[in-house]
Amino acid sequence: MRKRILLAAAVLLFVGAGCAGGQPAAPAPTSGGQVPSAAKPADPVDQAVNGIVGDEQKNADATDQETSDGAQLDATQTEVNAFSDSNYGIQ
Amino acid sequence: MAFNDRSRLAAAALAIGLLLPLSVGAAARKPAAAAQGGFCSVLSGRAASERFGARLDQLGKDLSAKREQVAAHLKTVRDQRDSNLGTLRSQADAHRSDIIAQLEAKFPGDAAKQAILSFQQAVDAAVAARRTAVNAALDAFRKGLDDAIAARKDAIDAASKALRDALTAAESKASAACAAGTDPATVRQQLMADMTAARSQFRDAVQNAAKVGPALQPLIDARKAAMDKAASDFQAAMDKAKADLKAALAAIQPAGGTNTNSAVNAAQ
Repeated sequence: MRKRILLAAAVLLFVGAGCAGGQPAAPAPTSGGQVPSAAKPADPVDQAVNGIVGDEQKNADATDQETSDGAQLDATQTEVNAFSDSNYGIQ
Repeated sequence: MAFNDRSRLAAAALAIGLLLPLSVGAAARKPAAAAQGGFCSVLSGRAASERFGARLDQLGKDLSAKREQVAAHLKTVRDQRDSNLGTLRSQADAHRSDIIAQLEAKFPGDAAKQAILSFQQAVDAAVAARRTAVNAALDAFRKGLDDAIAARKDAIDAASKALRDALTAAESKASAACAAGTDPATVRQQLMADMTAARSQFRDAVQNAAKVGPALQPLIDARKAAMDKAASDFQAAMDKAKADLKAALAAIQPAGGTNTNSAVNAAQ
């Protein structure tokens, strides 16, 4: 009986040790000895600059719709054509 | 007496024989003559509002109304965009202030504060320069479009004036021909020919005026080039500001005397 209890305890310890060893491994260093960038926390200065650049790009992009106003150049075409389409009452 | 009766009968028959064909012919010719003469009557009998000048005036009013509508539309959308851009920029300014405050919180100390202040000044200058460049590109595009619209307007106005001159001259010529007794059919035919020629000239002039349209593409290209340059210059200025700030923070000695090659790393 004792042997069985000891065996069960040994099995539990073995399984427990196995689970602990199954945790995700730390990122392997790159050839330069640095941690891969995916796992690297964002640089606050980079974040700051990216935020500012993104804001200004969004502002500049907002002016793109201005070019659609070019359609107004021909907006009077119907009224202009009426000058030559009319028969001026002469049949 | 019998002789006299016969003579009268013969004279009457002769008269009928001579006059009948004339009266029948006159009756047969009457509809055609009325129709042809009717053209001159119609031409001279038109109400003032039906004459060429009045009709051209109405077309001109329709065109002016449309132009005003276009101008009002452009002003409305431009004002709205300017307002939206102003709002976006204000939001960006507020966000930038928050970003600077976050940096100051992450990098305490006078030296870091000074480095961040320099960064902020460089960023503010870069932002101001980009916005100035964007405004200039926007203004140039708008002015170019306004100029193209004005050029087209001038060309159309010149064409419509030429059309008015030609049509009213043709109308006067037709009226004069009618008054001179010219065959109404001929008058009508000539007037129609004159009108066709005038309208054809007008169409040609309008087609030439439409060539102002392609002037738009250079405006679009120029705007894009200016916007791209503004973005590129801004990015370069921001890259330098970032590099300068990182270098300054890296050089800062912490209070404990340890070289923070990286205050940046410490803040992460």
